[in-house]
Amino acid sequence: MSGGLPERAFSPEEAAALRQKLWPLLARQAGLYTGCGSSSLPEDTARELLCSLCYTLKVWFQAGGAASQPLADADLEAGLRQGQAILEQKCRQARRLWMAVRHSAPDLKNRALADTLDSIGAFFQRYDLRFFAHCIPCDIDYPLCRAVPEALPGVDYILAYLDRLGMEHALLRPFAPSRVRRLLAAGCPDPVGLLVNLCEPVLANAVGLTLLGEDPRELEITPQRRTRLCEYFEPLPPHRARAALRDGAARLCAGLGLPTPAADYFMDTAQALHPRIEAALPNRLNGVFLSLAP
Amino acid sequence: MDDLSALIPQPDQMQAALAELAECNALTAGWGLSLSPVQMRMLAECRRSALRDTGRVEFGGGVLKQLVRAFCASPYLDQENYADTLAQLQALFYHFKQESHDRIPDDELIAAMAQCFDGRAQGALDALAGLTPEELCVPDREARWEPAP
Repeated sequence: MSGGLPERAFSPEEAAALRQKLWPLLARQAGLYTGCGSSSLPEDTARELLCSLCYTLKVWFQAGGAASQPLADADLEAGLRQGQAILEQKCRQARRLWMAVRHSAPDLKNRALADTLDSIGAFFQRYDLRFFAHCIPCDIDYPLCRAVPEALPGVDYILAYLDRLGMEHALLRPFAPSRVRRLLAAGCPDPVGLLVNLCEPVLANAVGLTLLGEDPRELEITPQRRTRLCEYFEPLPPHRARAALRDGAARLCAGLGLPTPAADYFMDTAQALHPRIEAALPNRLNGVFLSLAP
Repeated sequence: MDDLSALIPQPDQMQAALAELAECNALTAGWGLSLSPVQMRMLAECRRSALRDTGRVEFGGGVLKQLVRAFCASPYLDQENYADTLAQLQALFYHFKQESHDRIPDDELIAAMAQCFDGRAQGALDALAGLTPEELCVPDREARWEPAP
């Protein structure tokens, strides 16, 4: 169940103490949820309330709540209130991040990206941190280079998603939109309408050009350059090929002035290209490093 | 830790239900109705089964006391059928809660059940059970009761 209490092992006594405290807290939440109009709830609803409760308490624990006292003495009601206050703060942070990401979006049309950003905007109206803090009431369809773990609950997921999307926008910004559009068109029949990530093809070509010592902003991998890349990768054992991809991404990000968290993100993304490179080497790396469409 | 079923304090809930039922005898003495300890235990167990059967979770002692208050004056209740009728009314209550998707507050539902039981159902639990939540909540004077074929 996502949003559960911290993974650190509780002693049997701690677990028993927590369990005893959770039930009345859940009962209180249920009463607030039903407006005290109902003594019972469907199990599914009760389970969702419990998930929300556990996630909120986890947020409180992770912020240092109950650090200085034995768990058996922890005031979970106070912890719940403080956890909710932290979630409110995260929501404000997420909203600011969302606005920044919207404004930093590159001049590239993609329906899924636009719809996802709109939907995240609706999240802030729909998000119920009192009773369903673990839920993500919006549609997030646009795929990132590296997906946010699905187990991440509530506003934490939104924060992580927007953080990564912001980094992807930062990578795309230095490149001429016209070149990026031609690159996307080379790899996909409908880069506007289809569910495709806009950043990954750009990263792949830019890393390839960096490894060849060429200007990554050109984005153009000609057949000749693709041949050179084949010659580059063919002799490399897998671990050195992956290291080369990471190094290429690091140098690319340094050249583009991207900060460390973004560099780490793109180094991981570039490294993940290796299986495709390995599979595509017999086919002269077609489909991995693209030539710009006319 | 976040397993719901592991959290439910079954012994405490049983005790809470029994305590509530013990208070009911004082309420119903005037109507010649009372529950024996065995019957109270039976009702508390029936509550657990009814919750399980309808996939519900309850906090506190349950609704038996409210059911007793609402039905104890019913002309269709006597000492002989009191415990069994309560058990069936309890099961029906949770059934109606589930069927109505929790749209009807407990108090209103119990009041509607009592009105129907004494009114168009004329004390027949089958008749009460055959109603939808929407039919249950139609005021008695508007209801057109037709016996089942």
